[in-house]
Amino acid sequence: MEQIFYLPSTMLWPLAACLVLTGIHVYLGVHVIARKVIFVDLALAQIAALGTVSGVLLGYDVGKDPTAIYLYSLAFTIFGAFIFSTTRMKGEKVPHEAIIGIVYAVTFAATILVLSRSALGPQELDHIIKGELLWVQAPVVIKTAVIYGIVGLFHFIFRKKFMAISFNPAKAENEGLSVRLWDFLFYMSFGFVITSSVAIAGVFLVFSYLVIPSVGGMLISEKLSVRLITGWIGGAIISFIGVKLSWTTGLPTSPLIVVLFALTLILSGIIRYFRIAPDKKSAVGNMFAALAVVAIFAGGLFFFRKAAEDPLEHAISSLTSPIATDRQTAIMDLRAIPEKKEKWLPLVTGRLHDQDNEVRKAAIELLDSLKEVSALSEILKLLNDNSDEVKESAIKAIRDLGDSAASAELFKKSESEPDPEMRTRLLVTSLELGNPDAVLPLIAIVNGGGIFAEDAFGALKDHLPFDFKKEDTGKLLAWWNEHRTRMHWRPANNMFAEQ
Amino acid sequence: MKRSHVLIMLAILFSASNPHLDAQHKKLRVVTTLNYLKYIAAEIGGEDADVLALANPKQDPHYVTPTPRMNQVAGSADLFIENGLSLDMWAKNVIDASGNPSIQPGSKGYLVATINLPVKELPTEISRSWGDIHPQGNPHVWLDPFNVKIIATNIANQLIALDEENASNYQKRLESFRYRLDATMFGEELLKAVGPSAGDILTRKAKNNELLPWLKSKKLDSKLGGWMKKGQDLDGMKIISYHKTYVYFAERFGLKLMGELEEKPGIPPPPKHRDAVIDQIKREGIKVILNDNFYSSEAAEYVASKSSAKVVITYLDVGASPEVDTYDKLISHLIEEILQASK
Repeated sequence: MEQIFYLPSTMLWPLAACLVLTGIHVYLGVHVIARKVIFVDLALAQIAALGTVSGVLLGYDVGKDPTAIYLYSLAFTIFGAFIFSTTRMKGEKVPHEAIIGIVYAVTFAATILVLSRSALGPQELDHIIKGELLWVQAPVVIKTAVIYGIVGLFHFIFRKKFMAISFNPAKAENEGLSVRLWDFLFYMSFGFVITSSVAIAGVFLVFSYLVIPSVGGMLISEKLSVRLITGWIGGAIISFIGVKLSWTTGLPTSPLIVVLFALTLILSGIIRYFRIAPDKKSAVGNMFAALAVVAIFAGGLFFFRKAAEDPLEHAISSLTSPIATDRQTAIMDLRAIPEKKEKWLPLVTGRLHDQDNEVRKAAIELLDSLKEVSALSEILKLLNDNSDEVKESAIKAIRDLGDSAASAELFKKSESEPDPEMRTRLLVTSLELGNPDAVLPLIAIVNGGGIFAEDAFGALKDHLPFDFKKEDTGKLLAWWNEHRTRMHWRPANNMFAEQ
Repeated sequence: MKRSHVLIMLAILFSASNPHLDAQHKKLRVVTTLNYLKYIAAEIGGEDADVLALANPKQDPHYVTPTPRMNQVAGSADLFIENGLSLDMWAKNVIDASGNPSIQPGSKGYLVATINLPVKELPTEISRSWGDIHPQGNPHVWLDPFNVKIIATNIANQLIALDEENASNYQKRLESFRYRLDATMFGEELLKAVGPSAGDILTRKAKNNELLPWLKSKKLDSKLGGWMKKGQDLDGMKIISYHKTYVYFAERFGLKLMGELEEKPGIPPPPKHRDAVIDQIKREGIKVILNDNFYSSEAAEYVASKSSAKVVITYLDVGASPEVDTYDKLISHLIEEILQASK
């Protein structure tokens, strides 16, 4: 039991925020539905966002001047409340919903226009949609709870007036109530709430808290008090389950709560259906029929899912993609299926002449790791490559795969190589493949005393059966001239030796 | 007399205006998506090219809304350069809408600047099926100065292909750009000490992660300067970032990227991931969280408030802020800011 109610301390504030939202939005939702202005929160949220980005455009910084930014968005919201209260027409000649839709579209577009000129960029729009439930902390939750408490108290004190103008405005006007004034007060307090809520939870979640519990309550009862109480209890339960499930499943919190709300709505719809159905037996039948339709639909979706592509075919077709990294990825993928080597080997060898350095390099490395001696002659050509990385890999592959013919190639290339390190490396590799011609130039490098003298010295010392000091290259030279004709490479010892 | 006056005047007029007109006429019009590309292209193009960038450097390069003005600029371009690797995908819309046949993909006037680069995080068979946001690998390549050398070479090659007459100019500017970058990276003293092909040799050593031991073995380590010298203090430092922006930068300067705040770009992270990052920061003593200037810093601030780490707001593109108006300053600024925050 304890397990079920366990929530880590870091999730308590997001949950508290959800509960605060439930409290005020379930109540406001009743008004919103009675007034048939379902999307007014989206419009007001967008107006508040336009205020934020306008504040940024006029020089304020979201991080540094939060108060100024908040006042901007609040001022815009109050202006929005003014628009909505003055545009409510008697007899609904133009539906209020149309005006709300227009305000939403226009402020959204205006927000994009302002953003195109500011440093914020589209992530501000993203922010409005998704909110920051996960990053909410104690001060924000407490502040919000206080604001909502004041708004709630205001509505409680004047509950008769607010209810009258929402549920029966014509009657209220006849009784001498200023509908425009109380409309304005309603939208202003509503805007106050929405501005804070959207910043925390994003428009999706706020919209859900506003509308879904209220609609769910309507399905169960017509009575206002029952609707409110079921809405509050249901909203709180869903908030807890959502936060908890988000923690255990790793799914993002806000969207998960929204989807859970929808599920409970479906559930309460089914309950209502059974409650009002005159014939319970046929209701059960209909229920099963509906379930069958859903099952067929879901099964169909699954049946027509994309079949897994054969990795070999995928890699082979990617080898000729115009995008260089696709070709590189293809070579990496082929490495994982060596059992089908005879199918892809010639294609990878062909990639040794790819126009992209990294693809050539990847091809060399794959052929090297497979000890593919048949590719040696092609790899030798890459000693003239204009990329250092490709050359490096080619030298390494030749060292692994090479023979005496290859060592002659390396030697030849060293004669025209301007880069002293690359030249040393070519000569050392040539020596290591048993080419005696490399000895004299390496001695010259040691004598030259440059940065790479040490490397040349080390190679000579390692591969010649003659002990000498770095300063004694004269001795080495004399010894080499005397023994050269009798020296042969012994791959087993990695050394030259006399026959 | 009068007639000869007119002739002289005509001669003066022509000699003065003609070369001028010619030069104007021949200047290549280069359009780039991002501003770091503009910076490099302008360095290589010099007086032979007019370069314009489309993106606002302050904004997220992933999401730029093309405008009619962009299409118009691209419409008269001789060369269009994009970063590629699925970063500036909006470039495709601009190229399509420009109606300019000479900058279409596959033609000489179109260049993906990041060809020939060692791209990291190429998707494997498994990650591809999960839907990767960067299906062509991590695109933030330019935060490694070595990659910028290759990008500069790619751009120079393309300019030469388009304007062979001025090939030697482009080649010369490429050489001096690469030398300057090498000098900023390793310090001029070290370049001189290593001698011919020093830039290439040192670059290879650094790429193979053997620069410092190698310099020590050659007793050259005291001559190391530039970013590599400064970056020694970054070597081994553990950091967290918001987005996977710093993979290349980190590799070059030895930073250890311990993780990202976002698990998938644009999706709020799972709560456990958030708490795991905070635990990790505390456990490993991580001091720095890097947050790109165009991402909301709420997540980073939250994590910082729960630990002792500091948030560094970073710039990604040249010109994102007045203090990073050149590529050199962009990298220097990043190194400085991280060093400051880690103290």
